[in-house]
Amino acid sequence: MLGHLSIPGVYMRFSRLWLLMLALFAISMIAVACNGDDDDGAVASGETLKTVLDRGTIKVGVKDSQPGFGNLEPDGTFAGQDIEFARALAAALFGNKNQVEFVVASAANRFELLSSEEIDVLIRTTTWTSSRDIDLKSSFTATTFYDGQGIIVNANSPIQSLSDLEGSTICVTSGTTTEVNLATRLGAAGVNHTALSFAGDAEIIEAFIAGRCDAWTADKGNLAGQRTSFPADAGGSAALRILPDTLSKEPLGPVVRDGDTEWYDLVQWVVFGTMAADELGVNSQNVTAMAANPPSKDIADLLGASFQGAPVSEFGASLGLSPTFMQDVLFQVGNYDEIYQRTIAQIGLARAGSINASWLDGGLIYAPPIR
Amino acid sequence: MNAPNALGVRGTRTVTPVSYRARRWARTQLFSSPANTALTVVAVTLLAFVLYTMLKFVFVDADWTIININRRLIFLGRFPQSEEWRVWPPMWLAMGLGGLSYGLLSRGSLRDLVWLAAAVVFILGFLAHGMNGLLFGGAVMFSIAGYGAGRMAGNRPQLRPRLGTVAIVGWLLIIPFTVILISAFGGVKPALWGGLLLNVLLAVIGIGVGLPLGILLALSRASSLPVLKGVSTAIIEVTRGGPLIAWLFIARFVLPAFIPDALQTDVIVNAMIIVSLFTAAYVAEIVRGGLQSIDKGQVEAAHALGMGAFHVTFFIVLPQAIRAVIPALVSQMIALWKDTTLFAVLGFTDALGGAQAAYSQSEFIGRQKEALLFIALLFWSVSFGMSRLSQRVEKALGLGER
Amino acid sequence: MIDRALDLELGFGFLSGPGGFNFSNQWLTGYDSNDSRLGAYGVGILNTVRLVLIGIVLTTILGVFAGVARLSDNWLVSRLATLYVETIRNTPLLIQIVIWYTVVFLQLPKIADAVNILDVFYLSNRALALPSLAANGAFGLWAIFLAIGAVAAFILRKWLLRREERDGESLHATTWGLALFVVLAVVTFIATGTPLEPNTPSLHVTDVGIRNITGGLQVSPEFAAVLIGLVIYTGAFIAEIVRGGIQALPRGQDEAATALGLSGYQRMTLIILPQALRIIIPPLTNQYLNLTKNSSLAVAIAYPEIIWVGTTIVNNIGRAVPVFLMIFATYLALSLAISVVMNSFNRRVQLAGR
Repeated sequence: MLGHLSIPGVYMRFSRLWLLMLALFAISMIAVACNGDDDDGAVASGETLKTVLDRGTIKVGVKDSQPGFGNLEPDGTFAGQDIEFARALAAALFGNKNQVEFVVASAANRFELLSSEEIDVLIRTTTWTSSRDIDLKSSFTATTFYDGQGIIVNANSPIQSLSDLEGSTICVTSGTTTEVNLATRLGAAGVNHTALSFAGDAEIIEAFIAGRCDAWTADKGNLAGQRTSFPADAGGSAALRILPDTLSKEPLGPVVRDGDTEWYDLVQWVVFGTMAADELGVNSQNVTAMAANPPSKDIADLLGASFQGAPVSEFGASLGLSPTFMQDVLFQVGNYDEIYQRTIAQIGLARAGSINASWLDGGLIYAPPIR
Repeated sequence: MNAPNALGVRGTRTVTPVSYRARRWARTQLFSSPANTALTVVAVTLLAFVLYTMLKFVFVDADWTIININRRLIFLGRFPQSEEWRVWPPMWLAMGLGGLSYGLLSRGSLRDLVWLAAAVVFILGFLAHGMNGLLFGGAVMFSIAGYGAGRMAGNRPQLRPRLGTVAIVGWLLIIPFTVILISAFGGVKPALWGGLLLNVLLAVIGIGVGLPLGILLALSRASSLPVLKGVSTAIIEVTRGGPLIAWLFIARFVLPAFIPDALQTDVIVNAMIIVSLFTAAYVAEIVRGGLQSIDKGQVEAAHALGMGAFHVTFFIVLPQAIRAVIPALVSQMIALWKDTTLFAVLGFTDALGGAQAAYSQSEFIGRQKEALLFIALLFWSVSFGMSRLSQRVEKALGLGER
Repeated sequence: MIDRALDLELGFGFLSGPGGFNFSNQWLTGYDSNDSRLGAYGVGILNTVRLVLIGIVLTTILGVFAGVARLSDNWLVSRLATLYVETIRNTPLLIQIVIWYTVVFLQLPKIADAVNILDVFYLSNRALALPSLAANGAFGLWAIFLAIGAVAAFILRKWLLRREERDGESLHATTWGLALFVVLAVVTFIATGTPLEPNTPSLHVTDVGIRNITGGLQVSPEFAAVLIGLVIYTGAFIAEIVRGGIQALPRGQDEAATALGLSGYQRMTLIILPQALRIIIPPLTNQYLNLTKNSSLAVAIAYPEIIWVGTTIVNNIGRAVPVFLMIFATYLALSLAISVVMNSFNRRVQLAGR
């Protein structure tokens, strides 16, 4: 029986056990702490790149519930456009797209994650706004997707335009620009409504299907994705309709902390690199061949190859990367169009004809010249 | 109105004892008065409604594919597949120890067998198909073997105390063992711990750090040094003043700004520190109650025997105090175990977070009932098992009989 | 320089700026996105307080019933109570709240199919709407009369009680006191010109065809889910406290009361529970404090209590430190208020018994 514990001698024996236990515990705590430590060390301003290189992985804040941009698959891996750009950064930094550590960031905590240096870059469908850029001390790099806030309703709903929303209940994610936009736009139009703010998309979908709200507002890219994957039991994508109104401009792209220009440039130019490759027709299939024998000076400069014996461009070196970093990015991840087709196109948002087409096709995706 | 007896003869006085007892039982327990009969009817209706709803859902309406597909997400989150082997030995050990403890403490009844059968059916039937079948099966085997050993020892008085010591030592060592195996030697960093594993590790680390820390806090609060007393009282009261979710938000939003750069760790490590402190504050109050229950005569007697203050505290007062509050400490452990779900609110992929990620996958939208019920069942079974085990321990220690 | 100062910036000046977001679940307030952040936080406090107050009342009732039921002579009733306690208190509250919300309250009829009883009760997943009373201009005057009536009734009861003690026969002091109060209330209600008017909910359809329910007392599914979750969870713990309190009484108490011919109900309400209260109140206070702190879990669904409002503000403009200071101060104030009330109640119960 355990009753024998009350003999004093046993306490003495147990005190030794306690000591052993404490010692083991101390060891295990040190193990945990050290393990957490290898990837965190000191990060002073301007040194994000050094920290990342020392650590051997890049930490990226992403979303886990938005198909097409960032969502968690059943096998525990991530997929989406934001995820692909995170992998592109890893490929540029380490020559290996898998040296990336994903941190799930919620709408409400993403900037805290960034400012407290728990992540190196935030790629989580984050809208570039002046107040975030200035007040939240973050810097927005190249825009990877031009989005706009829209409203989705049931296909048979009487709501056709913003003014029809009078007296309605609208579901929205709390702590987003969407929430503030909704209040501002409908407030200015004098449309009385009830905003029901949820923590995330999953909760809103439940509430929306149940009829808790008449409408759901979010970025149109998100809404299109949700519409495409709307459960067949609830009528599939035909059961939903996105209103033509666009409430806002929502340029989405990677975000870094203010002040570290070196890191900012690196993130920005890796993204531009994928766009430039798209414009120049370099993709994951032909990149090796083109690097060996570049058809033009632009392509040679992008890939860090020598064009007709001329010296290799400074592009990679000036960013603190290997001259051939774009070869790794393009070979392992692909150019902007390949990324788009693999991710956003899958949720039913065609690139051709949209504002996210290349500027050559009348869209807004435009890489500044590399030279 | 007599029921036919075994011979089928109606109306005689030779009613079989069993049915007689059953009827007398029903009369006294269920239909002793009109009010009681009404209560019984209400209770039967309620029970029937609850059972019907549950059974209909579980066996007819529910589609459990969401759990099957997302098993990994719910149990391990983003834990790397290549390191999965690190999870199994602690699990086997825990299952074996659980079986052993249960066997040692049980008197051997039909109920044990029912629980055991239920556990086997649940684990094998629901989870064990696929490549993890053997490993899960192994865990169940360990548990049964442990139970068998415990039951056997019940008949051999010289073996029982020894196995009891093995069980206690095992439970104490399993915490550091698990943490070391999972994180050390090129193991998995806390940021990648996920699913139910994360809940288990959070609870285990929370209690592992919180218990000794809480005892120290309680001793400081009982000390005669005003500074020590004041500081520990302040820590305890401030910590208990706010809800855990607020503390976790602080771990996430505020704490990183106060920690020097050189000591920055993963946010999950911050959260673990917070959870441990939070647990320590509650443990301290429980232990303080235990300390107050110790008769002053004990201390005086120990002093009279020439023991020093350290010895008196750690070998006379504290063991008795802790022994007196074991039930409250187990309740605190259960509370901590349930509270680990709050990490899902912070965006961690614990079991609840995994379930939420699962029902936001497009093919499983609308299947939140299945996911949530499954998670609820997981947490319930661990809590319930712990509370049952603690009741047995209380009995074995003779608590409440003094 | 990477700036963390934003979160650490002290000072509460930011509270006067406009919140910029709208609220669901408002009660007695009409907060608008142009109102100040302090106003938003105030709505959060109201939402937390209303949850806690109603929750404490309901969970006490449930807990006492379940605790008594666990000791019932009726086998089935006591087993049912045990099933309730063991199921509920071993399951995380957060999961329970999420289940109540998504599985139960969201699955109520949609507004288009709202259950309508006699045009005064509406049940849908927008709200449960009940008829209620709305105050008009005369309410203030009537409230003064009510206060006077309450004082008069109290004095009458005191006087009757003293006579009861002197003469040793029952004069129904409480009944007479209540009667006086009711008569005064009704007379002045008519005299002041019906200061309360019935406020029945009605189904309103906009020109476009959007339906919503206006007027009456509306209980939203978010509030209902958190409230029911808190009440049922805390009730399971209170049931155990009540059971322990009753079991701690000497058996003789119950037996003596039976011997005096008191019915089961009388034994429980006159003999057992009043004595058990002495043991019950301190741990009960603890459960009330737990309920208060657990109300923060409402943040997991769309119920805007203080943590929800606080984190929304932090997300919009940073300033985590002052916001969390406010949150902690609010919980501290609530806990203190509950402790003070319960402690004074505890003192009265303990004195009355000696």
